[in-house]
Amino acid sequence: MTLTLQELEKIDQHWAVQAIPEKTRIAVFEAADKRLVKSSLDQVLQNFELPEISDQEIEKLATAYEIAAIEGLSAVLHSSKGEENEALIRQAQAGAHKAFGLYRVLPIVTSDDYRIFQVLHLAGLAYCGERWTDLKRWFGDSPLAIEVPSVADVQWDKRLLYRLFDCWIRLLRKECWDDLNQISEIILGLRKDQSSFESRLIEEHIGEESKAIALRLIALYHFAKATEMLAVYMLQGEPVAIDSELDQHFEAALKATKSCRDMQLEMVLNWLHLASRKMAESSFWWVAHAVNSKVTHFVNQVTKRQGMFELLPPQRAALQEQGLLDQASRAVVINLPTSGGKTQLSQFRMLQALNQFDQDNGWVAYVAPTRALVAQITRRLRADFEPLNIHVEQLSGAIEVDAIEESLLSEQRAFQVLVTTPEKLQFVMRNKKIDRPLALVVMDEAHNIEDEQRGLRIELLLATIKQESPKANFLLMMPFVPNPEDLAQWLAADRGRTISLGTTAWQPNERLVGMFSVTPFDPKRDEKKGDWHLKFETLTTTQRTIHLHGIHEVDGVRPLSALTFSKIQGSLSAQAVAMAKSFSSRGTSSRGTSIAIAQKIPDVWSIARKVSAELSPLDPIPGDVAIVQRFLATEVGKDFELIEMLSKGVVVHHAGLPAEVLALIEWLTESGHVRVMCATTTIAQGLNFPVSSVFLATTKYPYGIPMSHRAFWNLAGRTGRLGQGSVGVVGIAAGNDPNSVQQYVSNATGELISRLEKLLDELYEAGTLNNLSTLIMQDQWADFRSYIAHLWNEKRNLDVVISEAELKLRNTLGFGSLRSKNDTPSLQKAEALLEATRGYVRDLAKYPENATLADETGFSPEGVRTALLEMGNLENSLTSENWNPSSLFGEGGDSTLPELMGIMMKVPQLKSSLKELIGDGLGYRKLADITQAWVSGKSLAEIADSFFDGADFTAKISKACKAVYRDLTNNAAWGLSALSKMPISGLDFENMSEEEKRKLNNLPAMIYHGVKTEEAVLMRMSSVPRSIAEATGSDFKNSYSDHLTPNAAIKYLKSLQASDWERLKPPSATMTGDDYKKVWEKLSGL
Amino acid sequence: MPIPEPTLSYNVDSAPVIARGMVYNEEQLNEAISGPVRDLLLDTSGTAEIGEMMISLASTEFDQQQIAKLLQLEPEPKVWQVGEALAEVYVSDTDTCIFPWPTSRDLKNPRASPTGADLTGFQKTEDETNPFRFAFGEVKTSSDKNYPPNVMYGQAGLKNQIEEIKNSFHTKKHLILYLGHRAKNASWQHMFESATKRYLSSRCTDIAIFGVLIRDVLPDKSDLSKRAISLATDCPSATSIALYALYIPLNTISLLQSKVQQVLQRGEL
Repeated sequence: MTLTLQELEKIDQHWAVQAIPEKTRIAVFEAADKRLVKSSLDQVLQNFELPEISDQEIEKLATAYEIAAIEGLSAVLHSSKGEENEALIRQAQAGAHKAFGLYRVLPIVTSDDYRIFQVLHLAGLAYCGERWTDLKRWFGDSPLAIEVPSVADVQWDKRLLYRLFDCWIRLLRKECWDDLNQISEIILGLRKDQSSFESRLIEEHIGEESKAIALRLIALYHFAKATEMLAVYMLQGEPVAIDSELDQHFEAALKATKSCRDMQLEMVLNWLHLASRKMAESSFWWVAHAVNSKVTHFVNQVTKRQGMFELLPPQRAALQEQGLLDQASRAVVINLPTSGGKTQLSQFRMLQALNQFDQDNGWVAYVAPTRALVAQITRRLRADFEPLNIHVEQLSGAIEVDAIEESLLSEQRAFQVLVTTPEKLQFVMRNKKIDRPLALVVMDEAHNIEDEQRGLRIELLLATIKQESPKANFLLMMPFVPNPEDLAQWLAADRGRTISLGTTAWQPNERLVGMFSVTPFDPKRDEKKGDWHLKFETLTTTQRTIHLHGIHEVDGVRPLSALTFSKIQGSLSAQAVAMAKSFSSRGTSSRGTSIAIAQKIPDVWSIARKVSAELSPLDPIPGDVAIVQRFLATEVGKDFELIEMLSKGVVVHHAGLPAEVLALIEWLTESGHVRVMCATTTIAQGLNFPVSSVFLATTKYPYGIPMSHRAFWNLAGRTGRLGQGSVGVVGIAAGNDPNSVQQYVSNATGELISRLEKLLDELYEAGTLNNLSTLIMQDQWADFRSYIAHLWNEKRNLDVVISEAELKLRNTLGFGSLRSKNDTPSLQKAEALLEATRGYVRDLAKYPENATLADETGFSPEGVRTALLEMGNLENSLTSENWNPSSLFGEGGDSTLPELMGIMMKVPQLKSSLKELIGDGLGYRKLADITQAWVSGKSLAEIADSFFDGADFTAKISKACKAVYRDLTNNAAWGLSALSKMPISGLDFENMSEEEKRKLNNLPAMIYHGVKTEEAVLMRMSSVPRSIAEATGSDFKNSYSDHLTPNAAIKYLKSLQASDWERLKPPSATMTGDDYKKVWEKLSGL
Repeated sequence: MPIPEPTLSYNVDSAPVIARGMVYNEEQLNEAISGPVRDLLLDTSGTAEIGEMMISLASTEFDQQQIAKLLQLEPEPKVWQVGEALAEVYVSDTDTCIFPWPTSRDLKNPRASPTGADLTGFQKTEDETNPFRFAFGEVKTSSDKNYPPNVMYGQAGLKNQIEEIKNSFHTKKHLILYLGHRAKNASWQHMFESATKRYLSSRCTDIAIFGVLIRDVLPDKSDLSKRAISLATDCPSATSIALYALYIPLNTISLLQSKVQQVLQRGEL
């Protein structure tokens, strides 16, 4: 049963808790919070006074909660249906949850015998209160508490007890497979020791006490057996009926203990009985037995390879209580707290769907919001699924589908799971690229459905799937959404299921949220002019965060020594990075990565430079860091500033960097080699790795778009690290408007509303709803127009499309929501949309080929029209020769690429991004030159030097990276692909050979990947670094296979030894063969 | 059956601590043993339960031979068990205490840490809202001829044990939680609730503490007088402490075991 926040409130009404005045309780919890924060941040946050609340007062309140918990213990162990029983279970959980929170801040006793019981008692409470992740963190913070006492020179019963303590520490921390595997050996060792040690004890106590000794030993032997069985179960899932086995041994142990007045042992056995049952119930194996063989293999895999044994409380609730794997539910919408383990949950659902669709060769689409996340999820799923013979492939971030992807999508057994962005999946679905049933769509971060830029696209993608893949199941995952049932209802009406764990009491860790600022020097404290201090004030928020009273000084005088007060005062991003630096370490020990967030890329580099200058280099530089440094030197340029920054543990993270650089940065972060990460606000969309703290100079995205509260809390949810000891810290720069920061964090996250509905709301508010038929031609409606064009293409019959318009619109969340409301404004909005849709369909019917091309190219029908007009205006008509790679990307000067770039500049979907490039003073010709240089293999450093201005190399390389990775690879590749499909492109597709078609379709991929051959495209798709893609591609083609398929490429790349990579690497590369091999393994997840 | 009332020999109360010496004659002692003490010590050996324990021990895969031998030894109640039973009966009667299960029936484990208290239960008071509070006691049975006897001193001595219950928050806490684990669905659950409320709302002091000496020597004030004075120092106002020295006829402690055996076997002395 999942513990909720309401239950935590309710437990305060228990008679034992009520015996302590409310005022005292509040003061005690505040003191406990402060102690927790102090233990994590005492050298960072200063002037930190602990309130005068004694250990005894804290322990007294903990006792009251524990008494409440104890009342419900037997209900938890012997659960049966019925309201009274369920209330007792909740009482036990809530009481234990709160008692644990208090006990954990108390000092650890020094006597080994008492300490053992203190730790095991705490463990029992943690399991009962669903806080085992907090317990693991406490273990990390308290290494002395879990030290196993020496068994030398101790009597047999203590030897047993100490060894069992060792076993339980292993069971509780579960660091790896071996940790648990050794438990059986320890118990076996005890059985061997028994004959010699037991008799010695008995001889000493022969007489009056002998029977009591015998009973104590009986209790310990049963305790040992239960411990051994639990460990075996966690490792292997056997015996299936573990609960009754545990009951038998713990009850026998308790019976013996009760007869010999062994008070402490009796109480601890009670708690560990419960902990063992809870642990077994949370085991991955518990789920595996309930499902199918695929899941069983998966569980075997994750326990053995990853050392993961236990489901997080929200995961367990989703799987065991809320029916995530209920086959009857077509759509499951999960509202889960950030860091609640949603990717893993989706894996269970994916396996079930694949099992269900096995006969029909079904596939699963996993949709992630960013390219970096697509790559990250692919690596993760591959690592877990490939050993089960489930193939996971990703599609590139390019909108269009290239020839290699085309063949991948059409091959029957090429993949079972496809990871992609919403845009790419939309293209695939509208063009019916996969002739196999879609079993399941997993939509990660589905709250993006409300996003201003992409929300409508995501909504319409789901609407399309709902309409055209009637058997497909949906799994939507999102945090902080109070109305997930609206989405479930939309996607599957009465076959929808909501798993709402937004109010679960579990949280990945404790968190401080506040605002920071700087104050000038204090002459009274003997400080110099120009000195300054950082101040941090925690705020009251709508989420569960720790609130400390008062304003705290951070990290002494002038944490960034090079900056004077006047300099830092005016720069919120510099303040953010000063905070990040201060919170990245505590004394000499690392606290984990701190992120400083600035609004724009140049600001990010600027603050990274500032913090880097103040940090000493890592000593020694870890091997993995050195590999990434050599990677950057090879792929970007030897003078790339990030290389030096990495030596100091500083990185940058923004959309202008290649996805593979971001992936390697994330890898270093997860490995603990990054002290400070400087990022743009866009990291809020893709932060999927844990960090210790986040400091924002602003809560606005570029162009001043505000970060939604949901996105902010999702970002905040990543702070603090699961399984490691630290309080997460989130700070926002107070700047000139501290009140608005206070307001921002105290505003609730509202209901998730369809972007389509919001657009209509805006028109209604502005009184322009009646003009919708005209306004629908504006840019923000482009996705909607493409959707209607697709509906048109499906029928190509005006009367039918008009008559079905209502029905089809009902497939969208927005229209469906309006129709379900009975108020007049909703009715008016729905009618206006229906009317505008019908009008637009009539327009489409006049130029049906535009609608067809819209689906084929991903442009809106208007974009198609513009492109056609512009192509028609070219001085010379295009011919097939113009599309030859050597002509297009060659240096001869007769390339039509500049003209094609000019056309792209006019297409609405492309122009804004490409205009940014032009804003840098580049003409079409130069844009084409950059493209040619990029495709021909010129390094980023060369491109930066040749084409971009800037004060220094970093400024130039930043511009080059942004131009290439954000604008060129996305938009130029897409544009080229789309233009090639226009009927006046000069290409005669009908009379083309398959090979010619394939070559043509790979042209945009060459731009996307920055290579000039098809085989190099294939290598790049398979995560090979660009610097070695041509060489490996050529080697693959010449000596391995002439079938350009991803599967063949993966097999080839897996077969390469370090010496092969060494042989193939370019002479100028700083990377070694070993480096290439390791980087490829990291990037591909294989 | 009520316990026969012993005779007051001396009163060395040192407010708020009560300290009294009480004398049982032969007849009163026999009456107590044949009645309430016998009831408390019935089935001390728990033969049937031990048989079950041995059967289930096999499933632990630890060797059982030595344990089986140990469990067959000494089925009869031990002297300290009889002493505890006598003390429990006396305190229950004179101080309106209820001890939910006969702790004297339990074996005392010398290696447990800590062992708890000999008497663990509740005292009924006049308070209308919460009539019960916790009652904890320690008992020492000694045939030592010294005044006070040696069992008064040392780490495990009565003095220290009573001080510990009086002053140690942890000792009290563990005793309460121990009761808490057994309280659910028990007939005395309401007593536990009442006592816990009183305890938590009184800075953890509203409890009754008993120290009982069982002796077979002539009564002498020096057994308790100094102890009463020292325990009265800093005694929280809500805590009550009573020390009793129960004097049974001279040299009868060594006979207690056989008396109980006789009662258990024949039903009377």
